[in-house]
Amino acid sequence: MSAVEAREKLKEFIKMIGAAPKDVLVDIIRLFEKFWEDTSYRVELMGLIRNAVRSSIADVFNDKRYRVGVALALYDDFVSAYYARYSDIVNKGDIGAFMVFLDKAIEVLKSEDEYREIVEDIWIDLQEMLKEVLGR
Amino acid sequence: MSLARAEDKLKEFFYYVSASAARWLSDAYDALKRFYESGDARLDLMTSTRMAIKDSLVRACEERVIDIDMAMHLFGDIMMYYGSYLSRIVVDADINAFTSFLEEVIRNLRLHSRYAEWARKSWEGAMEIIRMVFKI
Repeated sequence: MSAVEAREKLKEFIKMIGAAPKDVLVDIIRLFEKFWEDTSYRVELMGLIRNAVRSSIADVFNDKRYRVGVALALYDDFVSAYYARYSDIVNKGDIGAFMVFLDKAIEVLKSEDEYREIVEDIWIDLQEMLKEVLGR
Repeated sequence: MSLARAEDKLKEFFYYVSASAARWLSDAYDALKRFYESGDARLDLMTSTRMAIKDSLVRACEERVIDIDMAMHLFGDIMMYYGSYLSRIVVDADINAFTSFLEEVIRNLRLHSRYAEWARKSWEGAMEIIRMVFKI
């Protein structure tokens, strides 16, 4: 599994959590570059991802309190995918497991139409920022 | 003895999630009685416990006790314990792990005073349901 493929998958994932604070998204990308260096970076990366997904879902649904059931169900599905691969990602530094997790997380977040439509709109503005951070 | 302790802790847990649908409380109670029968029964127990927490947080949010971000924050923190205790409970049939898990859930729910106060009021209204569940 190449670093290039993993970086592309991460970019796809970032697209789905675009409603999270921008500095957190940048931190996720920067920490990912240290994925192979040390367990502590992977712990920090996974923690940031969990918080970013929570922030993104909360931001999208915050003014739609009647939709909280949908928001929590979405987060519940994400958290299940998160913990299913957490140990392999953090302890073993398994990039394949990280890719599988990202795939599942993307699939979960994409499944909710209202959420997907809002974050896809945000993505247009995010692209420029990501180009700068990723250096391409 | 351990099962009796877990049952007491489950009743205490019900106090904090009594606003959730009665079926989750009933299912959790029934599944606890079958704790040593099979892994499926223990998985049922964990699933109904998770659903009860989620349902109660949704209700609290709908009633403007907490906001969506707080609901997701609380749920995410609780799911961290859920993930870390799941294997010991379901695979190892460790009843003490289940009791410890409930203690962590209760501790987290109590941390948020507005939620805890609301849960107390919900409990008063839910006594009939609880009596039905426990057949008392």
